Amino acid sequence: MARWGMVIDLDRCTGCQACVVTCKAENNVPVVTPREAQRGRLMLWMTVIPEVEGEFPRVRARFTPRPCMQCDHPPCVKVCPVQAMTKSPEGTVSHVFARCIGCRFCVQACPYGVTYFNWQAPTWPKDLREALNPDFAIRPTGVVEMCDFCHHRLQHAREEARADGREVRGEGEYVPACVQACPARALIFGDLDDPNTAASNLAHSPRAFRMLEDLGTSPKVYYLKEG
Amino acid sequence: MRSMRMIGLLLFASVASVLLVTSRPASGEQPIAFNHKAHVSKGLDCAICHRYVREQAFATLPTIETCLMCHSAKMSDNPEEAKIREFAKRGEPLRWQRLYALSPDAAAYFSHRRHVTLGNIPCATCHGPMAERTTPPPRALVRFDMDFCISCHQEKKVSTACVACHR
Amino acid sequence: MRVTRRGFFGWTGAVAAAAAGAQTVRAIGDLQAATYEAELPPRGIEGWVASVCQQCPGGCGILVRTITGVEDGVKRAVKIEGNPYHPISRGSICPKGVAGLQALYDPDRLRGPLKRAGARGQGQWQPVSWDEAIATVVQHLRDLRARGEAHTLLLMAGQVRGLMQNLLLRFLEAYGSPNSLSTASGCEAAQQTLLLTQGIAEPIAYDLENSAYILSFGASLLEAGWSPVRQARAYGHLRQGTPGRRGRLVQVEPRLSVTAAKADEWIPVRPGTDGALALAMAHVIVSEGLYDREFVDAWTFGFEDWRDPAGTTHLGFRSLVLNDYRPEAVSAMTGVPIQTIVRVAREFTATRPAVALAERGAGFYTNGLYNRLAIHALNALVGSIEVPGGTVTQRRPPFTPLTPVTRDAAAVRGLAAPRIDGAGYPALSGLGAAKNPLASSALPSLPEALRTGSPYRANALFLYYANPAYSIPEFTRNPELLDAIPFIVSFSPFPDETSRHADLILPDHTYLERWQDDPIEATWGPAVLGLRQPAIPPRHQTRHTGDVLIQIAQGLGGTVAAAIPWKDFGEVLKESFREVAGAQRGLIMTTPFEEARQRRQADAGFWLPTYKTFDEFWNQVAERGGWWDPAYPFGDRERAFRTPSGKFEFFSQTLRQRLETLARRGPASGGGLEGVLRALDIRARGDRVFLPHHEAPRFVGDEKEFPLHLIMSKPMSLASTRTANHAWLAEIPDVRTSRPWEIAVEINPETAHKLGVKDGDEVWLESPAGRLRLRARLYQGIAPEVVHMPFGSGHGAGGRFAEAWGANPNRLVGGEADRLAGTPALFATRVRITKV
Repeated sequence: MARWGMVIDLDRCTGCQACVVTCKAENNVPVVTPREAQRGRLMLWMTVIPEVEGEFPRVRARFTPRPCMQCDHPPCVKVCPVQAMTKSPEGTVSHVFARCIGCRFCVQACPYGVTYFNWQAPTWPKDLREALNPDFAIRPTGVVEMCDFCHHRLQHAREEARADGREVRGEGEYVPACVQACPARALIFGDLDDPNTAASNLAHSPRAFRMLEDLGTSPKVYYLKEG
Repeated sequence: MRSMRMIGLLLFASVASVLLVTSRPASGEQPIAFNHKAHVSKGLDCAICHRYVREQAFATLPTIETCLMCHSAKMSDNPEEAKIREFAKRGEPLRWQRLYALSPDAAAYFSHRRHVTLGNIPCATCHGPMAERTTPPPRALVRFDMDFCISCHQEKKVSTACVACHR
Repeated sequence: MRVTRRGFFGWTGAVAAAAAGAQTVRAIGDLQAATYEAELPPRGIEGWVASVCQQCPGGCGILVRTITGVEDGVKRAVKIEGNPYHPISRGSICPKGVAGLQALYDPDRLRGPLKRAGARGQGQWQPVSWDEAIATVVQHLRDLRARGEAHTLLLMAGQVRGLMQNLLLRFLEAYGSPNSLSTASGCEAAQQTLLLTQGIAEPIAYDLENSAYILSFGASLLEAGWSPVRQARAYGHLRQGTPGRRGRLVQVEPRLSVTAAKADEWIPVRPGTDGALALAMAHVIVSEGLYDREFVDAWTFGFEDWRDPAGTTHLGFRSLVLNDYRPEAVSAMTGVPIQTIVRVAREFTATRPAVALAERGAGFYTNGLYNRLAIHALNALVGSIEVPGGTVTQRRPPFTPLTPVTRDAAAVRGLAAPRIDGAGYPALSGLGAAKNPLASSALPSLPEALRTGSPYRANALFLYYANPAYSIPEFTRNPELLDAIPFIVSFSPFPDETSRHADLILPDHTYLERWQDDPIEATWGPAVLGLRQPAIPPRHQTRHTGDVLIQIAQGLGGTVAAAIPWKDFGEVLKESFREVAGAQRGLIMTTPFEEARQRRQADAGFWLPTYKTFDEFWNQVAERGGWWDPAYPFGDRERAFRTPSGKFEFFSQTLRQRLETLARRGPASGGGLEGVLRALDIRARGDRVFLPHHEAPRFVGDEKEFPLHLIMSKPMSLASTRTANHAWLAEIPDVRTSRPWEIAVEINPETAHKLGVKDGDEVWLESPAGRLRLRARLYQGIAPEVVHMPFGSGHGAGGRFAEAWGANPNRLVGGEADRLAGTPALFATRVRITKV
């Protein structure tokens, strides 16, 4: 069984944020108003974190895309009292909105801050509702939501593969929306257990590291250092 | 951990025993009293009218153009058949009442293609003996709640992960 | 029992512990029923449409996912992704491309033709029928023509190319007006660089994919510019594309932009001195003999001192840089250390292929064109012209030119008039009255013409994809200037600032609802022709501007109708694609693998098309998204150098010819060449005028009173003036600060400290032209004498989202221009900051 993972090449990333917007479009993530945004209620399942170091004129800036880390030992799943956060046999962590009671234990537990709480019912002007993705629910007030590696896209890919009477290939057939969009090809996705995928090769590269690795969450999102 | 998971599943199953099928309003009279049996017995395949049943998530209900492929000229004395041409003449679309639909509360996703084409599930498994009907049924012939789905999924050894259906 | 979710928090723990109890289970059941109000978007039958994005001029191929609702039969566009077959985007997309859905579904889009009801600028409208609207336009234009004032019709267009451009220009020609104005000033200046050095009036394009060393002077490679998708891909390739080789990117710019942040080296430079820096690097390259001797000897003109037929000796580029641009002097001027100048110059020659980029940043000063010439001269020194990894010129799709327009008496009279903006190229009107000898369109001269009514009054204006009241500084500050024009027609799908001053708005479809060709311009070498097709049927009572133009022409009758004889735009489109199908070259967009196969065949002399008939061609093009011809003949010098010398000209004979003609015939002829140079504010004299050199930049505002320089950028999410109404993009306006719905002014912390400004403080940003109230953000990555603001937000009109946020730096920009190029000098304004 495939173990899906993502490799993010920080050397390639140009901070364009195509991943951020395409994620919002794919998963019907609500847009928040300027006022709500100021209260820190922005919802970005995928976001790009900027960092600036140094003093003029010796300054460096870095952009780090941050999806859900899809931990192999996900703290959010452990604390969820109603099994709304689940880890599939393939290792993908996802969240069943219909089941969530909004306790926000997962928000507290996640060291990466990738879970978001719906403080308000998402609203869209009537016209903009037309562009919502029918493959995905609109979350109500009071539930948590987060990135699940576009699980519905895996199911689409699986459907195609089954039609040909085979399993989903370890690379290329199933990619989350952000990976599909990335113009610099900084996001690489595939089966980490298949030694023939670019993702599994890069995950073993000397440039590879994972975020807060010492916590023992063992994320399936790898980063590649610049240089 | 395993017992916790079972409890969770139980909990959710009872919560979701709220019917997955929406009970459509009883006013659901169909625009034409369609005779499934008459059509099926002529050897017509479901996909002739439910066009996308093998290709897409939705089987879809036939449009008037589909009916007119055969019924543009009179084929019988059945007054229901004549209605088709009256609708067409008025330029009015057929507003079928959908009987089988998932409740939005379930936030579940169902694909006909997955079940019909890839799973080889006969239509009657979920839709009951529609092919035998000579008149439109007033309500869905099968009530599918979550147990209905899960038991079949377990039997066929396909995924029972929550995210396989709910999102 | 009604249990609210929040009330539930208190006993969540208990639930988890005692989950088995039946009572609890029912409680949760109630809870779910009471509060779970999730819903599902309309579902239906899925489809994908291949089309071309138009959120910026990049021309990336897109695939639009559509869902035709099972309940209501309505076709909706629900997702935009990159088209894997399209050679520009190759399956990827940028944030603006994805957000195109929010242009299509903008709740404040115009829903049909409107007639102005209130005073100009008030934004009060009355719906009219299409027939009435078109009849009104026809009536006005007919009157104008009858009065012999056809030339007073102005067309202002922004992003327009391909057949739509042909159609608009053809209409103007048949009608009898020389006045086609462009708001795309960046493209204008890029064209002039090649006109002066290589004799071709085309923008420079760069073969970035194959370059190993990119020396960029302020180019916004990784922000908005050309096709951001293609550039990002090229960048990724430069970084990690070839195992064991990591290309180098050096960015020269006063601010650590995203491009600079991702570059291997950032060289902060004083505003307006990019050209001098490039020439100092040329000094190093020449004095150390590092230049490509073979290329310079065989293919350049004016490198060494030379003698003309009359026997006069002229200054060569070599002597110029050796004498005038010693690194120590330039270091003092630019603020770049000597060792950096020397090192980068050496690196530039040691790594092949290397290319120098002269775009945006360096070009937005009063000396912009000379800066561009100086930077492009570096490419000539290393022979990086028309070679892989160097500069290239865009090839065009094989559209045969339309039959010449028959001009009637009114058209002949109209076209004989000088252009209203004094632009002199191409010489539709002759060079006679040109104030801007090189420009094909010179918007900076328009406000003056409108104010004074000289050379003549403008009587009508068509606005197509142009919003000068937002994007051109003088019009931003004084949109009332437009009121000098008695009849304005806007074709904008959105209620933008300029449309507010229109008399009629005849809204176009958005790009996701219309048929259009999209030939790539100024992006890279090969000819690429994308097909834009409607993803969904038009949502509102809008109409394709091509169709409207055809209807107007037919209403006018006579030679105007004869010049535009088509039924609708679709007919023009198909006719033109028919020519491409018959051109016996190129291929329909496909996978890189299939492409390589077809190319190998073509190289072996077999051009085996995948289609037999035009219908097959058309269907494949519609399915795949377009046609292209991957072949690019590198090293075709005859095509690349069409100067009088047939070579790359360091000493521009074209410039000399133009200025001397102007001196003989132009309005400034009293003063001869001297008068022309004075009128154009060029300080150099003698041969230097025609050579790349550093012209001291002029700035608006006194240095003491306004101690800071204002520069701007176009962040990725705000490419043009049109994406501020996309809420998705407003949430991420600038990756650098990552603050939603905020446009701030960036200041160096040292400067801020002196002013007593802290991060997040509200400040006044003030120039001689105006002031803005903004939040200040401290940023180490900006030179102490410079402040920065992103351009693209802060709309005064355009719908609820566009009006909700941001600020428009154009309000502060003074009226300076690069007079030689005829383009606005957007970075030539000094400002000051005061605490609120």
